[in-house]
Amino acid sequence: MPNLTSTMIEIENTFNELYEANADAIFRLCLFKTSDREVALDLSQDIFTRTWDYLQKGNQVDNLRAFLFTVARNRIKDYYKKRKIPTLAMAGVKNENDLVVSQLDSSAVAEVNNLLTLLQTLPDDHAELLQLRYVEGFSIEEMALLYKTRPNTLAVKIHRIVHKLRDKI
Amino acid sequence: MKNSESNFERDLTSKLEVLKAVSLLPEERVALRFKIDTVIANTSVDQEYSSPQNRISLTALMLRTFSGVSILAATFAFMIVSANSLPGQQFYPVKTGFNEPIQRLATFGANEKLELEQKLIFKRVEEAKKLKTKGLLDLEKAKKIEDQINKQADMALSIAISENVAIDEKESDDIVKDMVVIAQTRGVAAGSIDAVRVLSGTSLVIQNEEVFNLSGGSTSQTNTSTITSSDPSTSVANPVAVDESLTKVGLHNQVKKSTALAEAGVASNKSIKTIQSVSLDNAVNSKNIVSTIDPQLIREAETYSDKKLETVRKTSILELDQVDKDSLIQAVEDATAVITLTKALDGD
Repeated sequence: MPNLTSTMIEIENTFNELYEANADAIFRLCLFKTSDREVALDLSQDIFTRTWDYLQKGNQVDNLRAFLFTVARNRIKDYYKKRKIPTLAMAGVKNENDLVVSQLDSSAVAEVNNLLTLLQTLPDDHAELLQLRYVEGFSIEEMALLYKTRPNTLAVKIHRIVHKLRDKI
Repeated sequence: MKNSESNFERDLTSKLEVLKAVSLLPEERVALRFKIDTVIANTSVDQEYSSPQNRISLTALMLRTFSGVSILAATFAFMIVSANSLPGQQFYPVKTGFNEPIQRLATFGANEKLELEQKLIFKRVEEAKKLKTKGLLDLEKAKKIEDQINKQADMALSIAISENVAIDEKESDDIVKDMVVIAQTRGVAAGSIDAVRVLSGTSLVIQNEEVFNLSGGSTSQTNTSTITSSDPSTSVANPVAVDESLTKVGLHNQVKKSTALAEAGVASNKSIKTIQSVSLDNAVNSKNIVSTIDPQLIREAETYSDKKLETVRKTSILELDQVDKDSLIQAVEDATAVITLTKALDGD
């Protein structure tokens, strides 16, 4: 992702690229965490507008994608805090309508639900790590920025999670 | 060992990629972008970037957002964005000024239009309930919702009545049906306004009877019906003489049906509240609108419904020669108002 320059048009173009490339991923993260399509849409809107707000003030960001997902994770945490319910690693989906069955055939819906059920057996942020790494295609370096940790530490952690998952299957 | 681990990781990757199929629908994507762009257009720009040519106009943003998107997708986006909006929200005027008129245009027949309007009027109650659960239902919003209900009822009734008048000949059954649907529409409007008042904690009024002041006590009050009431008995003018007794029989039967439904609704409401009051399962009450309303208001609303129902009951047991057509029509309206109020406060 390019660093920002000082004109509004460039900020807008950068934001457009960010939105087009990440709208689905942000929505997925919100949906799997909250299990509610409407809430996921509201949160997605909020996440992008907060990101825009930060950018249009002229703030410099090294890695926009990591920044966007940091905003997303914080926003989701706020959502749970306000409702005073524990954060779920992967809330799954309440009913098939949240996946919009018309989007997927019934075998795909079943497969998605099985995967989410499996991921729900993992603790806390482990499922989120797997989603970002294997679904959204984040590199270890990007994720290290996101989680404010060293790439090596993160790589080892992910490896251990995968290993645990293997034992469960 | 290492090989099988990396194979597993590869399998896991391809399995988890299936989750990518869950994504925004095309109309959701457009609607989401539009909402974001609207916020962007309204955001005040930092001094450094505030030269006029750098500001983004809403028109330009809309053109950009919708360029390359079909009018149909854009229309769907608007409808989706506004469908769940509430009074006070940005897209609420689209819901009442665009989505709902389209539904009305697509409905034919005077009675069918009124039946649709009854549903659209009750939607206002559902909106008031959502606002209530979010803690956003103040008196000002409640008044706006009441005004909207009145407006919808007045408009729908005047169109239906003029359509009925335009028809030269009608069978007695059809005339009864017209009268009943009109009375029911008035009843839904009156019951919906009552429900919005209970939700917002304001007083309920019975025509020519006591005002139920929800802070306690009662004072007498004259007719304060808020629904425009043309004389119901002339609302279906028919140049050909209709057997009055047949009309009264039909109306009388309807009064009995409506009374039974209203009684069932009131009884059901009371039993739901009894179950909830003894239930140890918090999940039963967790999304219950009734639990957000002062219990005193609920009791007073129940008294109000009982009183209204008592009048209806008395009309339903009278002999035909003891009751006039207007009283029967009023009884249908009142029973429908009670049904609407109890449905609104049934705990959903």
